Amino acid sequence: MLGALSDPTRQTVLDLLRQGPSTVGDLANRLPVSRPAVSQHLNVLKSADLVEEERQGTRHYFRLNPKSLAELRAHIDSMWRDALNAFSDFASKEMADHGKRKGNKRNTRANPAKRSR
Amino acid sequence: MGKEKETNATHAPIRQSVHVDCTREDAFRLFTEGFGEWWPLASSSVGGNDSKFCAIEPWVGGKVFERTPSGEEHDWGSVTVWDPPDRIEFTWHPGEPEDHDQTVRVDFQVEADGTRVTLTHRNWHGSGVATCGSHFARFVSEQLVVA
Repeated sequence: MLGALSDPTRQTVLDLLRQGPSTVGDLANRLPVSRPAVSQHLNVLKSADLVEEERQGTRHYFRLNPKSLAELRAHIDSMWRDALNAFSDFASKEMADHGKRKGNKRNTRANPAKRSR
Repeated sequence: MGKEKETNATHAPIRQSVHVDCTREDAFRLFTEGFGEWWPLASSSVGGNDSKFCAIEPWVGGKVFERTPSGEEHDWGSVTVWDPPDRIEFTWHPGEPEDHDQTVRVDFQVEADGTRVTLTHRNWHGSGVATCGSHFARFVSEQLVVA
């Protein structure tokens, strides 16, 4: 199963499908690989339950399994929740420390120097 | 926390908020200047336990980034709005190529006994699975492969 995500092309296929459903032909046009190769990657993703196939008339569309998207959302949601809780704890501690140090010279944090990039 | 529930499509922006017991000015300063001190790098970073430093450069165009002890840097995004003490906004693409679709906006609003800090992450569904392997998306790779 790990193999489903280990391939860079499959990762790119998933990234493209995140933008919306697509056909094999559309995907092949946007990737440096052949149609049969795209089909093969899609089969792997389908068997890993990451991607679903839907027929509309004569065209076959592939799209992300919505369950995957819901899980991604839940994951990002909890990441921000944890981060904001960490921030709130830090702010409380800083303000308490600041109160204790009142009257003393506040330690100032050096501003990060502008980095040349 | 998370008082607002987005009930519609799964693509709706992700929103989280928290109360802090200080003024907006202090909240904004601690959030940005103190970013490297409160951000949970071990769980949310590209380098995981290898990364010991992260920061927000305090100007429009400044980078949000992490750095490993060996000096390797990973950009997470760039500041697009720098408006103390009201708001900061930046693009968001940790572990991925530059991407202007995903944005994170942080608002600082006065409320009783302090400040409400509200974070809004838009176009999060564009998060590439390409980040798997990074700690940011460890969940994605772990969960999706067993799906």
